[in-house]
Amino acid sequence: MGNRILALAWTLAERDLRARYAQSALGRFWNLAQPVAMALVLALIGHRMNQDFPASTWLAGWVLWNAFASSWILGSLSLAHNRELVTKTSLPPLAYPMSKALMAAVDGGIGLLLWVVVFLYQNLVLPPVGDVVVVIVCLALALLQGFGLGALTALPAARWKDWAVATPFLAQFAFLLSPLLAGGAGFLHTYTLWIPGWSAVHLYVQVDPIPGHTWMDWGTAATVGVFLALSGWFALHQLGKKASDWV
Amino acid sequence: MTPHIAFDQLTKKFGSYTALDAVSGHWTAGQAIGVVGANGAGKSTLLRLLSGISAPTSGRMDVQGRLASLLEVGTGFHPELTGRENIYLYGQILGLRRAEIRRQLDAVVDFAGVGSQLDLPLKHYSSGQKIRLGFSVAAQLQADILLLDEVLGVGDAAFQQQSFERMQSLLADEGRLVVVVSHHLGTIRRMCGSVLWLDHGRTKQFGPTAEVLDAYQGLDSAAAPAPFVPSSWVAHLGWDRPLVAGQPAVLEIRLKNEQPVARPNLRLSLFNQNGEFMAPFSPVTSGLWAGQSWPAHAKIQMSFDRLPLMRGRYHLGLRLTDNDVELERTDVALPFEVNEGLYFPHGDTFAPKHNGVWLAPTWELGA
Repeated sequence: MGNRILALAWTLAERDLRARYAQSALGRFWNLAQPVAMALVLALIGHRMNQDFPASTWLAGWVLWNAFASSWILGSLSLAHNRELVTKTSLPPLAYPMSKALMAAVDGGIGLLLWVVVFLYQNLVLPPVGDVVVVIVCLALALLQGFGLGALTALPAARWKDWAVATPFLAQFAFLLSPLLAGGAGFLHTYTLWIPGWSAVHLYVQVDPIPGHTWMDWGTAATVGVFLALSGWFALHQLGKKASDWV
Repeated sequence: MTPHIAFDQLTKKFGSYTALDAVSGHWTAGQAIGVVGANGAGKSTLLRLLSGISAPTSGRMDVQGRLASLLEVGTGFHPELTGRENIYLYGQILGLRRAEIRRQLDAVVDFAGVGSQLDLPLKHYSSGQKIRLGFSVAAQLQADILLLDEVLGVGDAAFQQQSFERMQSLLADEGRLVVVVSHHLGTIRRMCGSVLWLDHGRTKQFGPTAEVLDAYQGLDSAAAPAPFVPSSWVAHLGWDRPLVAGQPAVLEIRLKNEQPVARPNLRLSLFNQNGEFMAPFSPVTSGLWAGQSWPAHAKIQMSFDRLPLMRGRYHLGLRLTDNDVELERTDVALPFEVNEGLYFPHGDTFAPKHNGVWLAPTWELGA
């Protein structure tokens, strides 16, 4: 069952990725160029704002936040935006937000390749294996948390259109408060690891005043991700068939 | 375990509206079940519940076997993707594996007849080609239980026959259970061994096809002909008198738009009592009023000096467009009955067992 859902999710993600820039003159080049350009611009702006972090750190932070935010927002809207499929086919409801998380993973993977290039440009060496592992684990956490939140909010977004409209705004506000911009976040730092999306970025950019992270910190972020993903799975498993009546 | 569907007291409510009301059944492999009923009777709701797309409000359901449902041809097609990409996409949505699709790709393309356009984006296909492509993928489904909702009447006449034959070959496999929802009673009569007749969400009758369909069609004749239900665009559609074969008849249509219709196109379709298409009527194809706008409350009349229909029951479908934008579409807009009468002055020599059209060709006798 799990494999089938994953295969279907990938089918939907592939459809959207192929269709995103299909028939445009530069075709799939845009799949690469669009997230790269966006991440690069934001990394440079961020670095100008706070030079404590090198551009590569800003870039990785942005890639992680973007992976979280897009898997959350698109996942949340995935049932409402696939009305035809939801009402006419028996695809498992979980496949819809999962497909958005997979799309975010592809964009995240492209972003990480860019991060390696920027790191190489800045330091004239490839990033240490430890850093690469940390970034990949953080990306996985961001996707897990984003997918969980998206799955959890997909049904409310299908039921209440206001919720669907408000979700992207919520994500923008969350970004403004995120540790990426808050750069230390003072009174918030104690709780940051419990906040979806923030924790992945937090773990990478190390805004915590205590250098380094304990296993407990990683465990907290992972717990949040697993909790959200399981909650989202449970909600769609139990109530997913309501979606065809609501969308 | 033998594939089967069992459901007990299945009920579906949308707020205070009951779409399906305590419907029960037990269907097993080897059966072909037709589901009939008027629009809004609950046919599609039943299929959506059995497919697992929607959950019942109450009642129990047990499905054993690999189930595939086809509630609409081509759901999920993406216009920017090529025909080939859409075949893979749609096949997977329907539950086929990529390897299965790859194995059957040639058969799908042959069946759909789109070989030369396979790598063109779907947006360049005609609507008929899209339907053919969708059905061709669906026809490859190897499920134990197949649920079909109004998908056998798609495409042109040749493709409908091709689709029907394909379904017959699927039915020949006795290990399969097929449930067909259709207004095309001819299709149901030819394909199905049993029929479930739904009326306002309830089971009206379930039994052998001939018995149920005869009762279903008989009910139509016993009751007064259903009047046309005014819609947002059409205020009235009706004949000016009781219809008799060979006698004059006038069909009147009155629009009730707020504004004139700039580039109207009105199409009427005639269907026989089995829901089989018989003839089209349109002022545009008759060479009339092309490019001419219609007033907001236009009154249109279609007249026959001698109604060329045999005794029997028919219905008209109606489609009204403005500048190719669909304003109104009703498949069963006006059911009506034609009484027996003389079409040819020298007498009719055919016993009108079935509905049909009287044609008056020119005859010549040579030596």
